[in-house]
Amino acid sequence: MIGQLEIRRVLPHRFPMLLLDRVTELVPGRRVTAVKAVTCNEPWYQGLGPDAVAADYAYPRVLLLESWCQSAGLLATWESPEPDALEGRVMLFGSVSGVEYHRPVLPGDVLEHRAAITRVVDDTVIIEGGATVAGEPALTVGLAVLAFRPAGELRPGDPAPALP
Amino acid sequence: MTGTIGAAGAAGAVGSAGAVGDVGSIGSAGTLGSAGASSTRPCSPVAARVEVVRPAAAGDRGTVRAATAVTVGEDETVFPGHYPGFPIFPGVCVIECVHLSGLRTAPPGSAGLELVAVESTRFLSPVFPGDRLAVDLVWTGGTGVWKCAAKVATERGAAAQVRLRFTAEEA
Repeated sequence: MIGQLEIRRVLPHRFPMLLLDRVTELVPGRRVTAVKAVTCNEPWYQGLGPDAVAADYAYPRVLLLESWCQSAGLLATWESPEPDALEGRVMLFGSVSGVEYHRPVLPGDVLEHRAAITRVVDDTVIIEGGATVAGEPALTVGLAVLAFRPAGELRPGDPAPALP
Repeated sequence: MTGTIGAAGAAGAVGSAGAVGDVGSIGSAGTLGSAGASSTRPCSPVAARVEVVRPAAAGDRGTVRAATAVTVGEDETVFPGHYPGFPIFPGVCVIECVHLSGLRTAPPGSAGLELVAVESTRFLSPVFPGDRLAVDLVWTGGTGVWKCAAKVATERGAAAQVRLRFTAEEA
């Protein structure tokens, strides 16, 4: 099993932004299946008060995308990980398109992400896929473009680097 | 461990401040309420307030235009983990700033806006703690579906382009 130890060796994300729990299948350079369990103990739920209704507990939609992007990032960097964001290269999402949300995701739901590499051009990887909950589609991602940049290019105060 | 304590403290402090500042303004504008959600601020990874710089108003060729500003505080919940020792505002949080800005500047006549798609987004330069985001929104559509095309800039220049699609209950 690919669990937290292996995930943290590849991704620089940490609490509260490490949104992957386990990898269930990985074919390097091809595709990944990864799991994220949603819980009401994530900090995003902290601001909900006693008047919150059931729909308020829907997991933030942009974080569904972030969690999927982390499975895509793990796939893209599996063979050359850079888990220290201060050194080496940083993985960045240059663009994402065709993201569709199909149903709310609630605490207790387990997201199963699937991501597949469709193209690699120089330092850029193109990945597509989506996520399901109990077999039902929750998210589709038409196309995500990941780029790798030296961490030094990203320091505050420097001129903004051009990303693809 | 430091990260855990810091994140919990920041979320608590910002959450309570946000509740006071935002519930009133969102409630009076009557724009929030994704599919039966209550009038509280939506569950969100972004704690910052959305300031409406220019409320929604008719633009050219049937568009509706608006502008907001979002100041990204150094105590945002996400920073301890994105990334430790090297805080960068996550791209999805830039998208969230546009999402929240859209809810605050809904086109006249629309209600119950719900985000259903991120049609496209391009990240042009990084966003750091302390940056003030200027968000320019152009709404098109109607009859239950609204698209929101936004340009997001920091003091250093263009940061992102984001195109969202919402469903709405037409009033």
